[in-house]
Amino acid sequence: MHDRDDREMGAVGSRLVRVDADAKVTGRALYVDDLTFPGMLEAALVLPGCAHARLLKVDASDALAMAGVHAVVTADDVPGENQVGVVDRDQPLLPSERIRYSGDAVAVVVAETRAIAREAAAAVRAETEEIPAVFDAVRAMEPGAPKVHDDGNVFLEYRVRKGNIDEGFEAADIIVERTFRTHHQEHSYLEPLGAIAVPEEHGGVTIYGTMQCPYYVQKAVATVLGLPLAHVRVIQTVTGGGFGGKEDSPSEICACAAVAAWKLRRPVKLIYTREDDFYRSSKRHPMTVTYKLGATRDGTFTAAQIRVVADAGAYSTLTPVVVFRAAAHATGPYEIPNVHTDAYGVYTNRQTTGAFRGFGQPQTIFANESIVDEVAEALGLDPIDVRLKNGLAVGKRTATNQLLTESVGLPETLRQAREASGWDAKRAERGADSDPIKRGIGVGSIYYGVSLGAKGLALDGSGAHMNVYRDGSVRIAIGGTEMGQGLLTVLTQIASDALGAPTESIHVDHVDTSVVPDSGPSVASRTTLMTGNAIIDAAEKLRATMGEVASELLGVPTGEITFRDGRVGAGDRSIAFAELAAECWARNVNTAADGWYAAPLSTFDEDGQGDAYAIYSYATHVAEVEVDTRTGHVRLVRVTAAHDVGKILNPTTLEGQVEGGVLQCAGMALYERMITDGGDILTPDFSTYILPTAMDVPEIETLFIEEPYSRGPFGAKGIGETPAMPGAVAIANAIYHATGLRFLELPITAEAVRLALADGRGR
Amino acid sequence: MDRPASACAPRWESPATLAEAAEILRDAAGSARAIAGGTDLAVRIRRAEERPDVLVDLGRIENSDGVELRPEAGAIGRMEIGALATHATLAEHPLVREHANVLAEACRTVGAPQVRSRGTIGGNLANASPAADGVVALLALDAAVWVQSASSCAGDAGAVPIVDFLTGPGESVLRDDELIGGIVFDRPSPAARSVYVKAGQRNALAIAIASVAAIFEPDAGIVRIALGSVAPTPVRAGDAEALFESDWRGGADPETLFDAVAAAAAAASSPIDDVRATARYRRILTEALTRSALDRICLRKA
Repeated sequence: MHDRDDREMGAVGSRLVRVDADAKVTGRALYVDDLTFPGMLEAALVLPGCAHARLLKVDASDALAMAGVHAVVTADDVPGENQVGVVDRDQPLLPSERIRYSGDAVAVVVAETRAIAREAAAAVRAETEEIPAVFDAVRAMEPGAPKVHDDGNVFLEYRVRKGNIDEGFEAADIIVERTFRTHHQEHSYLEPLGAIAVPEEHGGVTIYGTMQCPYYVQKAVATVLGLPLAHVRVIQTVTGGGFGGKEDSPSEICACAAVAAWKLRRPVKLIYTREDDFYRSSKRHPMTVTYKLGATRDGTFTAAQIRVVADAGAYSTLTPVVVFRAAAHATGPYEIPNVHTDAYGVYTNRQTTGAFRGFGQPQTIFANESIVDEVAEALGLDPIDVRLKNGLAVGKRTATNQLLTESVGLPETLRQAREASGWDAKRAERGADSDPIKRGIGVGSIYYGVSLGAKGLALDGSGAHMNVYRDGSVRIAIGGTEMGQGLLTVLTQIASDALGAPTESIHVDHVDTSVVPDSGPSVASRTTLMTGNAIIDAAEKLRATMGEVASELLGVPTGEITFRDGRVGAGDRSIAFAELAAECWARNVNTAADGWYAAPLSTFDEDGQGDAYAIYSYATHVAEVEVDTRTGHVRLVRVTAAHDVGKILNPTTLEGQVEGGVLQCAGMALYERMITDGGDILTPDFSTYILPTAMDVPEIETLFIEEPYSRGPFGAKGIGETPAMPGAVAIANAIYHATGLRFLELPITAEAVRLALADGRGR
Repeated sequence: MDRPASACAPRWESPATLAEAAEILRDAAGSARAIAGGTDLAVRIRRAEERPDVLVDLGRIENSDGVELRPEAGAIGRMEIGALATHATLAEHPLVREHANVLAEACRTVGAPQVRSRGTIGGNLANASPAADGVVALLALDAAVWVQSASSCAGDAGAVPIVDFLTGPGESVLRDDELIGGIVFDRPSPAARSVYVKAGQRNALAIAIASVAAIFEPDAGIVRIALGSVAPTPVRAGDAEALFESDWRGGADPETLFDAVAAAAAAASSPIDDVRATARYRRILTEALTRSALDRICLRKA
């Protein structure tokens, strides 16, 4: 549908085959566990497994006595500061006094082989004294709850105040209020966390690892080793999936490997088992969201009051940023004149929670999009009509009172999803009462502020280094990470069109922090936008210098020179890009350039008012289900996913992003449950933590709306997260349509459906 | 501690015959484990739940993965399945599909293609999980297990009925020095129809929350119903079968009868709560799955 003539249009918008596809399908791609270094040792972590305890002593004598064991590294061996907090400084790398959750590691065991290291880690004895623990964020807010940190459990609070909430509810004809709950979700990337630390002869250290944010890792390693940043080099290895789970957690594993390597002066590799990953990597925040929405009889929203309680786990990690995003977007993509939102980040003795595709929003979306459906039903209105009536559009204002001036594709996502899914007919359809299979169709819409917004401004610049060799080939170093999403491919396309050089002459590398300056994290759907713009900036500089040479050679004024499809010139006077590169080199003209892009200013005051994010992406998913009332089994039949992306850079990678997101939504809605008992995770692997498989994939139709963003590369906006956001509640709403069951908690397992029916709920 | 146990790989033995394998097991005196597909054992070794010194690989043993239908005097035939037949083999085998469809269907629902290609029916039995799909089907087929030890081979005549073979979750009468040689059962009547229905947490790689294997023999007017994942071992729903036998011939209304039989099957279950489901849901499922199985095999309704 989105195919078109590549020759005519350039690389952007074409279905360029992923530049890393061949290496990955043939097994040539080297992931961190594929790498080895001379003299390298292997490490394993010691996890006492307590949810909350005083640590009295770490007895490593048995482990040290085992053949092949080189060292047992503890807090005492950390040469710098024993601290890996990303935002707040509340997280020791290796706790020495207190264990706050079952993922806390108290020692790193280093041995000749991984098997010996793991065996020895099991032989390290941590003497502990259990103290009362708290496993529920709402309970952790109560007076008298066990304190996870001495200053109290509520460490974070954001508010949004717009208009007058009392007047807003006064004006409403109907008010619906409910409390919703969501739980941990594991990222389930295929490649578990892993790192190698290599001490360098100059006194520094080089880190290799699977990660989304090499510059976070650089800072963490410099902190724990007490080294200047210039002595810590981080090289991102081919990364097998991230989804947010490789934003904060890699800093911990890389710092553990670094401290061990530093002590022993040998390369040390540390690879997590899947179980380690379940215990130690950050999850999606469990949230309790109370949502109260008022509307007039015609379906116009008058007021929204929202309370969000986010379970941060034992350390705050990225919670301050996640809860900011949740607070800013909590109303959903609607213009509501009166808004009153309170959002809290709360410590518990559970797994830490951080970034996960959607970053705090899927939880609040489950609440707001369920409530919108309830209001529509109570008023006898169609759910899509109500969304169109209140939905954001150019000229409307968000909950933070931000005036939207461009690139608002929400209404179009609703209209196209309605049309393509056959919504109106299916919504009206009512199957026979005697049929045990009930069919339903439901919708969910979202908006997402692209990049870091007002609470991440200091990190919101990105760089690129572009080097044109004398034969016209181009190598580009970047600060954003490829983690499987297709970044290297779309950046190749952007560079190709920006420079007029053929895609096959361009190579984009994974991140090396010694080459490109701190470009912030690869999160928040920002990397194509930020790094893409940095590449365009570098290309503009090169077109200026190389254009002067072309002007001289061709006798054409510089203003008329264009760079297109591998040729440089004007009209019939042109030269091949490669020839021009050779000419530049012959004249000692520099053909390398650095590019930089900084996000525009954004604001968020004490009352949560301001231009919170520079630009928003929008999406609507329509889900169709069949519910077997005999077993409770929900079959996800079809999903229609409409996304406003600004501009399509590569239809294939875009479809891949959306289809993967649809499956993650299905996982959150129907399957994924991390079951715990105190500090123990009862589902620490993929046989018990249930993800959808290839046999659970619905039919997926993707629809793309191009409402260009004036500052985006070729008009593009971020697409990384939006696919994982509207689908879960669309499924919940479809289940309601099929059965009359309104679920206030995810996941909606077959058992939950069947027992609700057995209890006489539903129609 | 003088040696890191998991750091030392177990010794690997590849005997050519079952008898030889049994001798190695006997000589190892409890420190050896037989390994066929390894789909359960390898997981337990990785979790350090088992630490065998010796692994006895059964993969080189010839003629131990076949399926045969033996005509027997006076009987309609006896099926014999080698212990090393994989789930993938049984799911597609023409003799199994024709004469014991319930087993083919059960094997088709095991794990994913990789697991079905490695995992064997003998291993499924030896592992003795109450959720073992193949075993639930074999129980409905009234199958028996013959065992090989270093000193003797039981053969068909000494085969142990599955109800006696399984003693609890993960437990059976198989001793450390014994191996499962094969499985035997009388072929159901040619008119029989059978089905395996299973509820898991997803459509593939799913361990049963509850499952039902059912065989209907129209000429005799009987059903055989086995239940998976709702008791310490797979169990037969004897009362449900008896109810069916007494009322089917009498021309009872199928809807009413099937509801009663399904309820009796649920009553035969004694499930527990675990990470996959609650006992309450398992009872409801047992009833629903039994009902659905009866519709399919007795009335040919989907």
